[in-house]
Amino acid sequence: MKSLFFLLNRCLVTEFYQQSAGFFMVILLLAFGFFSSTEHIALAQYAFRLPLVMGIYWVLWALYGAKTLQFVGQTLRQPEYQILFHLRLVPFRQRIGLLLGVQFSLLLPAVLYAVFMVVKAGIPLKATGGLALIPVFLIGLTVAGAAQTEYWLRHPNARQNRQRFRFWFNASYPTPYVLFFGRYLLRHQPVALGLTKLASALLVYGVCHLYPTDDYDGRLLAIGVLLSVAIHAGLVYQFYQFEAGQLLLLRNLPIPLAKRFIGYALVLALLWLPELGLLLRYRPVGVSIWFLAELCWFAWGLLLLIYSQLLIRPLTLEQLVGKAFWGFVLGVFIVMFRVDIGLLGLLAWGLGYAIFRRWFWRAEWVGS
Amino acid sequence: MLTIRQFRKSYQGVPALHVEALSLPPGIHWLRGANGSGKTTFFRSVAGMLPCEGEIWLDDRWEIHRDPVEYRLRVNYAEAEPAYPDFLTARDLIRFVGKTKQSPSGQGDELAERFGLTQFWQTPFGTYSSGMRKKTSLVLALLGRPRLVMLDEPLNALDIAATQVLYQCIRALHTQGVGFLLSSHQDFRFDELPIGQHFVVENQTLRPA
Repeated sequence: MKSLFFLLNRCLVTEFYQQSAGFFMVILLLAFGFFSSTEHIALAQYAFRLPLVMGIYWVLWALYGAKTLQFVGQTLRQPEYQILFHLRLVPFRQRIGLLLGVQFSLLLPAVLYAVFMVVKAGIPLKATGGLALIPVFLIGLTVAGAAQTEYWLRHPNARQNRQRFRFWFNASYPTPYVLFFGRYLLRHQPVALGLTKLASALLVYGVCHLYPTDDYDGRLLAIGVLLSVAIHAGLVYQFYQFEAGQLLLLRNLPIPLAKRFIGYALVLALLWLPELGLLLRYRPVGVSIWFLAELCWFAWGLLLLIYSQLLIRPLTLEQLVGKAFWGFVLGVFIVMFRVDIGLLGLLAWGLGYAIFRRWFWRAEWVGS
Repeated sequence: MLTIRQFRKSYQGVPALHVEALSLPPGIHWLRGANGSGKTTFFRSVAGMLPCEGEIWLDDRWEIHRDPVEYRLRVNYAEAEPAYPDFLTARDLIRFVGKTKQSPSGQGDELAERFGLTQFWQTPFGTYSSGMRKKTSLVLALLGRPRLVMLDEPLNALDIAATQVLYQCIRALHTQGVGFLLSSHQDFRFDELPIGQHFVVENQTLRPA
């Protein structure tokens, strides 16, 4: 039993946390970069008082639970992990115990945050209803996860039926290169993608609404765009990792550098497309379309500049996020000096292309 | 066919492979070496997938650093353990690579048919068996009009029928002047092919056997 749990722990739990390091990094930056512990406690108190806020926590935990399950399902489908289907030979009670243990280990970050909420807010407020419901919800999430894994173990071919639509879609619409990364994100990193886009979209939406409230000028929008791009550093890192790990073949293809650069520009443009839509939809009165075009040009160039950093030398996610953060600080200073945004965009594009041109063939492409 | 001068490959400053000078004549050659000896590093470097120092000339005309596009148009490579995005289908990959390698019309479809890939045309790569993965990478390596094709452990995971198809493809291309560099651990595996020279990768270098 112990050795089986050790095996499952290695295959599913440890692997999940290793592969989700980037995701947890983004969560840590979002959750603890913007809020102090006092604010977390205030939010928790709010949740114990208002069912709606508690509901938001539950939705987030459920989304996290879905991410863990997606990982388990994906792992079981991989040929090298087929050995896990031998679990069917373990007696039912022991197997369920193992699966509950695995699911609990996967949900541990949510459980720990719930414990923090209970200790710091629930108990002091004596919110008995909330105190009872949180463990019930998390136990339910654990049981549901274990039950789904048990179902997959019992029905190893069940997914084939559900894949018919995907097969039909694949047959009808071959994937062009610029959509490779988007499909990868949707399939393997949906939560990181969702959270990044949510944070970035809220930021763009926020600055568009803040703009008319005072005597602001275009610099506010430019700083918003700068921060939005910096938030995307994690996804740009994922893009590099995706190609280095799964598309090393690209380097053998006879594609001219300029065409490669255009390909990367299109992939990154797709990534920032929702923010462009938001800027157009909530364009503040008095801001010209031309200025919005300059902002997008600027954002696009910055994304390329971030990507090009990974070609100079292999960086960890933390190093790239650190560079993006300091780049943001520097960018704020430059923007505050009223430097033309179109010119800054040109600089970012020019620098990005110069680095790309010099380093693309020399880059080692270290994938995880 | 392939001329190498002062080739050096290091990983983060640690030397991995050094070839002072080597000339591979046209033909089918066999590259041998123990696990971890540097065969894959050599293949990947010659394929332009890893940065390296020195000169690698194809037909004394295209140099890997000087003519990166023309060189890559003519040098193809199949990995020993191919890894591609699990959501892409064989068709996605063959069309994408075929287009960049300027594959003649219908070549990808014909190769896929011969290797028995078409029945998995619409299926994502992540669901493939190791044999199907290998066949996909071999088809990708045969696309276009290569001058040199490098196949790393090409027979691993292949069934007998696919092995015969591969031999036929190699022989047919060989008669058209295409060079091959093959690797395998087992001595008996390429007995159906007219192997030219044998090379060994050991002690961080490559030399004729």
